Amino acid sequence: MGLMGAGVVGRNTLAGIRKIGASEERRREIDQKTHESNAIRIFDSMSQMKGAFMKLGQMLSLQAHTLPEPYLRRLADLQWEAPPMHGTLMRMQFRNETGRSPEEVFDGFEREPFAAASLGQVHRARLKSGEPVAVKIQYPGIDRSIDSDFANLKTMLSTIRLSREQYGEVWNAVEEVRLHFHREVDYVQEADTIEEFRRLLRDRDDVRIPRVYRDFSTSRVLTMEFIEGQHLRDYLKGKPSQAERDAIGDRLLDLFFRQAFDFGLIHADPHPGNYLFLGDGRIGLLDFGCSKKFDRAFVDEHRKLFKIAIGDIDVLERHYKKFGMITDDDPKREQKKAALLKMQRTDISKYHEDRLFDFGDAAHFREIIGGLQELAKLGLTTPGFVLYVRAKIGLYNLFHQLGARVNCHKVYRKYV
Amino acid sequence: MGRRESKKEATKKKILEVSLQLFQKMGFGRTTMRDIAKKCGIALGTTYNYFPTKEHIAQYFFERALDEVMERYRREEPPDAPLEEKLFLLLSIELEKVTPYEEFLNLIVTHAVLPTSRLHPSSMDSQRLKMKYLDFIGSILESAKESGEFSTLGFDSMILSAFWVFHLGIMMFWMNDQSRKKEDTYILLDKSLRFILNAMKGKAPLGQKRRK
Repeated sequence: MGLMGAGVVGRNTLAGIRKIGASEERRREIDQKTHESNAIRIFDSMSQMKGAFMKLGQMLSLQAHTLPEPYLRRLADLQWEAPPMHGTLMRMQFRNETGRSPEEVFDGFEREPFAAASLGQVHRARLKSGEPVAVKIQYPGIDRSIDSDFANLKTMLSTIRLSREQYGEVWNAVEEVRLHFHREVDYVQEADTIEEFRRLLRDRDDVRIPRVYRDFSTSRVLTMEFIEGQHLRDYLKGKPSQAERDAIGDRLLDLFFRQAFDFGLIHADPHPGNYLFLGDGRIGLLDFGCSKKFDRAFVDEHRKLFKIAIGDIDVLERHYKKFGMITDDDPKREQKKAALLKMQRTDISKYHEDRLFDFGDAAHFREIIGGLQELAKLGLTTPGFVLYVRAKIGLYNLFHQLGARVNCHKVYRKYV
Repeated sequence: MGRRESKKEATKKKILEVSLQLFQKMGFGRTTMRDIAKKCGIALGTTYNYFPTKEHIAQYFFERALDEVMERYRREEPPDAPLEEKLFLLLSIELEKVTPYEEFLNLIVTHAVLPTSRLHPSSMDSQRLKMKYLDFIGSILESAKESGEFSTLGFDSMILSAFWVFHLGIMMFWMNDQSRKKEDTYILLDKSLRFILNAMKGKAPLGQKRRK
């Protein structure tokens, strides 16, 4: 790590020397190249923390004009990679956590994991009483490595040339991800979240959330009910009818609004792998390591944003002025207004029209992403907002892949 | 084993158990053969018949521990597991075996660093144990070699010595490990085994993709 830091600093210095007397264009080119080689070096050397950096990348790319493009691109490339544990290490970790071996605790414990999870792996087993379970086991020492790895990351990031304001944003985002990550590696917190969702959604028999078996869980081992179902790709192979896909879209959008507006608590990891299709139209929700609570004020303001009439730029502007994101003497004021208006048309308008909206339309999805990036560049997003947007985009992405058509207005009216 | 041998064996075991207690209580240096004999209720001369010195007792402890480790490994060895898992298993059985005697090991280490000590890793007495251990490691590596999983890359003469040093290093790390349930030792063991074996196979050490 120290060596790598020296490498990054060295390259920055070298680039500084090369830039002396160079033309403006050449300077930019040198900067770009330096950023690129630094980005590759920084992120490649941190294999264990890739999950965190992936999230960080997603947040930063939604959040702003913060990091130079090459860093963002590399961050976006990162994939979730939990270090694999072989059977012996996995069993040792399980025994250290629970005091017994998995074979003593369960019947039919499968040594080979069936899925990779947030910094661990998931094994199938059966309780002695017969219930099928999924047992998530975390690689040892992850929790303790978070702070040291983030300290290293901050050192690395401090070598990037940024304005003071940009540093502020990057630091805040890094800090939010660090805290978020601490929550995510604590399976007791995840168990609490699962149980909170189960309680909040107990009236919804169309949504299944796994039961937690606390007697067989610790902060690093999480034993949950095994839910039988198909992942999106397999589900689509069975050629479900349009009506069925529409119904699922409707149900999931309703679930999203209910979480965001009624509970102020969202399942914020909308990866398609976290949804299970149970075959009878019911949906299974998995992986609650990443959830986000919102305070009343945020929820109320957001509700108001939805209600603003399409095209009413004055009200829209006033809304953003309240948060200081637009000011009267803002040099980018007109640009910001135009971007907000465009985003309102692209996203919010479907909630104002009483008709089926086709999420299968690729152009819509592209416009949403483009619009968000534009808002981010203009500084029109906040950290809290980022996880919310991430959840919503994830949902749109799922609808898009499902080819679902949803009457968004009907769903929205129940909550706004 | 005849009745006489088994009685002898039982006495040896008793002397060992009592000695370990005394070592942990009084320190290795301060415990005398007289203390041991007295606590065992055996004549001092008889005790010397079994163990000429207390270093011999310590040696006997390691020898028994090694036998038990090898026996347990043979029972638990997962036949289809990769080499890194097999070596991880062996070392973790060793660590588990010595866990109740950690204090004793700490005492022994301060003694064993003296080059004149019988317990020094390169003393004659230690050599015998070392050879026994490395023979066992050799057989594990050999079968991995036969299945094409592992190649010594021409380092044949060095590989076992290198493994011995690695093993001592892990032991020292373990003794100094303050982490919860000494999990840092197991992380180090897991990652270093993967790193070394992957590097020897010419793969990217920790499985990352290489980039230019």
